[in-house]
Amino acid sequence: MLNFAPRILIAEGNTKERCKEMQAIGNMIGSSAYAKSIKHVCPGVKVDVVFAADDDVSLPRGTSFDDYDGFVLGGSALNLPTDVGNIKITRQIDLARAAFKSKIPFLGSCWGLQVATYAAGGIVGVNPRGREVGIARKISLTNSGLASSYYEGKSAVFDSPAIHFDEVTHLPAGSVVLAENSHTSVQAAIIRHDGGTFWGMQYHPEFDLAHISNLIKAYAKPMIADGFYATEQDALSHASQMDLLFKDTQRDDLAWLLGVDRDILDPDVRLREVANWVDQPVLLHHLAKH
Amino acid sequence: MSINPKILVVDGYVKAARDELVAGGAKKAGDQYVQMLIRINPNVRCDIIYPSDPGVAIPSGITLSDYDGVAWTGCSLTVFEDTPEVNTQIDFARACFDSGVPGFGSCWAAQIAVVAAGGICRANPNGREMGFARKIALTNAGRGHDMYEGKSSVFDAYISHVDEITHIPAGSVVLSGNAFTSIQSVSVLYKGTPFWGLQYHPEYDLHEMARLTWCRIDKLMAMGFINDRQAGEDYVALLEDLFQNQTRTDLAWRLGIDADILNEDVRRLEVRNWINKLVIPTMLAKGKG
Repeated sequence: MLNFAPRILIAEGNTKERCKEMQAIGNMIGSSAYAKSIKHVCPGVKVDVVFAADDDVSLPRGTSFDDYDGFVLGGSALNLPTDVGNIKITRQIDLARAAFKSKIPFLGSCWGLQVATYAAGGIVGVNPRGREVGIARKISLTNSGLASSYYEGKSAVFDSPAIHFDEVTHLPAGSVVLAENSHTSVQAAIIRHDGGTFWGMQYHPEFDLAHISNLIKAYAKPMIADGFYATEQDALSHASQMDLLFKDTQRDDLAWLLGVDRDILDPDVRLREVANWVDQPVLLHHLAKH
Repeated sequence: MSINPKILVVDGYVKAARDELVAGGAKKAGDQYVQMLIRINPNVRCDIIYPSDPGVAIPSGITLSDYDGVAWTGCSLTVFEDTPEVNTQIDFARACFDSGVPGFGSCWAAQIAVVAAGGICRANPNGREMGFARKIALTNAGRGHDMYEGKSSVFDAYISHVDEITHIPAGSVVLSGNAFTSIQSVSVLYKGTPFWGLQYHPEYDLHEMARLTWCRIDKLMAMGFINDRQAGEDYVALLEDLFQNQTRTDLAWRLGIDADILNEDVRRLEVRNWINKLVIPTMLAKGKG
């Protein structure tokens, strides 16, 4: 647990309309899940949220990146490869470019990684292996990942919550791949652009098992169409096993049945990367200013 | 001209344990191994011995070196218990190392090869690893080893064990590990003879894992893997269902498994590599091709 009081700006990647849908299924919106996760690793943190897809003013009124110690862009149901001209997307690309330029420590999951990639000159495509959903398994650190301070204390191979259609296919020059698995070759990367450093993951360390369960319940029909479940009843029963395990992580029988371990169940293991980001670049940035 | 490797399959189970498995619908471990070896290479010729049976003739000397490979199955014995069945097999493993015949094996086999060569095994403090060993990662030595040519650097595999290798003997190399079991495979070189051992079980399939699980339901309940008999029966049914309908991606996803487990060629690559990169080249070097 980290004992300082950084000020972090979190950008919600989803449209407000989409956020309402998330809340309707009982899930926190992405920015709230991130805020909760950062508070878990650093209870003194002060968080502001911007709705980057919808608001014309990209930063909270009267602030600049200089007022913050870190900037986070989380997940979104928007799709870069198929919808790149959408103003709800271009606003976020502009914001990412401004973040790079400001040199603020910049973190992202999923959509955040994809936007940072695009903003820095890389390419995002539709993943030919389809949707990776629920748990991304067997994510493996590259040698660079093993040596990276972002993964200090993390296992060389781990599982993490995930949900995505698209993936980074081409990183901009100067980037480093930190993690991969058989579904997605860029599961984590460092991107350096315009003097700034972004670090991001294709997976979602900020999601817990209850969040995954709610996604499954909400997406049961498309998941049946994609072959993840035979019936809606199967989806609901799978989701309810996750709920039971979330409520009682001592249920070794359910963990065994679901094939999950501490990588998913222990927030200190699951959020280790986020803790390292706060503890290293964010802390350094904070100290440099105070 | 075809090359016909002659493989001695060693099924270390005592008769009562073999009978228990067969009564539960499982194949005997030795039969599973023979079936796997022949599926990988139909030219292989196999003999099976049961060294735990009283009075069985254990091959030695010239008889042993007549074989091109010795393949050991898993076994429910405990390698660090001082019993006649265990000691007979440790002695036999030493005779195999003396013979120069390349060895291979799963689970108990890796343990007995390590112990015969001077290493140590103990009960795994993490308890039983059962069903699927997840996130097995190759070491750097594993990535470069002939046994793993073509294998992913990280994979899942069938597993069922309570003991583990804790100390490898000099001349051995750890090839893989996971969070549950730090040594998931080992290459032993002792008295000039190589033995490639896996803690996991490439010879299993979903049906055999279902039958083994069924035979162990009471034990699994006692250890907290399942809460009641019905949960065990449901799990067995899930495995059998996927075995019967291998295209049911939904069932595979429920179990959190992929081609590492389901694709026989992926799962058994280590065994294929053993035959192609160790057994056959050793035959050719001896002029036996």
